[in-house]
Amino acid sequence: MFKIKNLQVSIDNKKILKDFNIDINPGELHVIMGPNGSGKSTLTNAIAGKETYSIDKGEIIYNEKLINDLDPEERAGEGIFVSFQYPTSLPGVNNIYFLREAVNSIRKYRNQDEVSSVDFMKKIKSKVKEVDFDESFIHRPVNEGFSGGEKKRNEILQLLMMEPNIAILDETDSGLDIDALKTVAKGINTYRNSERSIILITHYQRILDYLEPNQIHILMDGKIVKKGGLELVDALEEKGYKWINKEMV
Amino acid sequence: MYTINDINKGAASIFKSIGFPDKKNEFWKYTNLKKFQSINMTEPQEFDLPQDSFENFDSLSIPVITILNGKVMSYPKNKSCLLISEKFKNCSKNFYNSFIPDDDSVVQNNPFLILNSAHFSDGIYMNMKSESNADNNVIIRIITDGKKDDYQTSYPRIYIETEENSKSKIILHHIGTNNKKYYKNMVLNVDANKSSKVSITNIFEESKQSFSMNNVILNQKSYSEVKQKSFYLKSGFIRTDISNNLNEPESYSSLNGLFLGNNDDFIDNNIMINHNSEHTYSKVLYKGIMDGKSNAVFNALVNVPFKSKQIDSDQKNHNIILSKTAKINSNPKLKISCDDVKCAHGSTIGNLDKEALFYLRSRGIGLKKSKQILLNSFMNELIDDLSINEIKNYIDNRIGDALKC
Repeated sequence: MFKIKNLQVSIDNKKILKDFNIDINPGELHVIMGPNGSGKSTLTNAIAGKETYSIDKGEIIYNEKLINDLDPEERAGEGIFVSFQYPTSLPGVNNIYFLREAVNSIRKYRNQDEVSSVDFMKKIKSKVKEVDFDESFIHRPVNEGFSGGEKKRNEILQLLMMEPNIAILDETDSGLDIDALKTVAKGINTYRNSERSIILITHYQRILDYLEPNQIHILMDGKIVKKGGLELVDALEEKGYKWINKEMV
Repeated sequence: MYTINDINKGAASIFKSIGFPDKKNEFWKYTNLKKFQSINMTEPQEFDLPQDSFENFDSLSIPVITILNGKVMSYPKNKSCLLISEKFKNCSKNFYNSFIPDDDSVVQNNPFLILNSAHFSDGIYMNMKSESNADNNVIIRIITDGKKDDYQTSYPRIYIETEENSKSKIILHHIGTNNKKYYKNMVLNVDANKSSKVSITNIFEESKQSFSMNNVILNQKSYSEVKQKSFYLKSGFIRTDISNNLNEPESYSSLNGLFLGNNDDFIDNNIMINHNSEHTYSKVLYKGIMDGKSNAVFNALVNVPFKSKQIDSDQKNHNIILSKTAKINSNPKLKISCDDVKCAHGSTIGNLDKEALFYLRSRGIGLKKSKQILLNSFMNELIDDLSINEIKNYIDNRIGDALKC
């Protein structure tokens, strides 16, 4: 369903991702872990289609379709959702208006009718509860004045409203207190079903206590250097990334 | 008895002595009058209202004054609304004298004000009553028709006095016939009496081929509040000079502007705020969105003389540039001769926020719509608090037409 083959990405002529490969089937949750500077956020931005990230080589394939050259909004329209490590604030743009535009833009891309106001309000009111937001949040400007945790929960709210087929979540668990972490994990589990897949980029084991990943990937220096199950996470917690360096030598 | 003819003659002789300003004058350093000085002008001969060039806000049931090519065509017939020529039959010497300012610096800096006094043939005078606030709302439609070759001249003149404790809303809708050539030179005087509240909304939709010179003089007494919002939705060469005199304690003014430039538009905003009394307050916020080869000016001066203590003044200008060829000169200035004041000023010029644009697009919203969303969020604070919904919707729609990203 979602494949990345031999991906090389550079920023300002500096190579960050060197030879990245992943293959994800419907319903699977894959976790990418890696030290700082290994290329995790570069991967996120390259998948989202940010202009400053130049794909030098390789393929991003979604549902058998090469998406390397699609605009960011076309990728979202296809059903790819990217949650950013540092979600941008949009002063003066309120959440409800933003979400409605997003949902309807995606529907338009798929030649579907716009969602009715009544249905949209019903849906947003129920989803807001799932991420433990007060209803007033939907009238506040997007991420403006939000705490770090609120921004991450807002990303999950967007995920639940937009219902993509694959979600790439970049450190959505970073900076969260215990309750917020549980809320985010619950949101991810609500979203996940046999058709919907997830790539979760994280530094920590704790969110994995609430999720059931299919595979763990270790990203170092722009490449996947190791794959495995949850035992890899345990080993990392115990020995850090140096252990993998040594093993590779 | 005073006559307009006497004012015309007196002002013409003053203009003869001062002439047009050059770029050495601080208020004219960004304004190139070369083209204006070379145009052929002709006086209007016909006064037929253009058929389809304006929206009339009829549904609002607010009294309308129509001025066409400088001539007052219709106005509500009541005690508070008169032609200036009628007012002159029974007015004070001070009122009459205000048509020709005696302050040298005002004369030097506002040559177009003097030119209006030299040429206007009549105008409208309103006295806003304290007992009938509903009647104090008025739409003044300033329609200017033009010619295809020569520039047709027009000198609208509006004088508004407010009674103590009165409240009034004045909407000035400046409409120019599409692609016609004209030179319009308007003067608006507002004398805000003690504790009166005045809201002024200017909607400019001039011809792209026009020279539109607008002179606004706001004089305020104690506890008066003047709030002006100006929307420059369609312009050719447009200049506005605002002279705001806070003459007595506890007077407050808020001057807002939103200008949208495209093609070769030139939009020139000049604001002079004189805190002539202690305990006076002013707030200026102008925002501009410039595209094409358009050129804008924000040139403002807050003047605090030696004895004016306890002043609170805030002056801001924010701009978004959408093309590489658009240009803005932003110059917010303070001249403070007193040390017990709070005065802030600031200015920003930039492009649309690329991170915000990418974030919107990553959520499926197309490039064009994303730009519109960001521009709307930039403008909203100037539009949201417009108190008359029909006016707000009208401006919203016109902005939508003007900003085709």
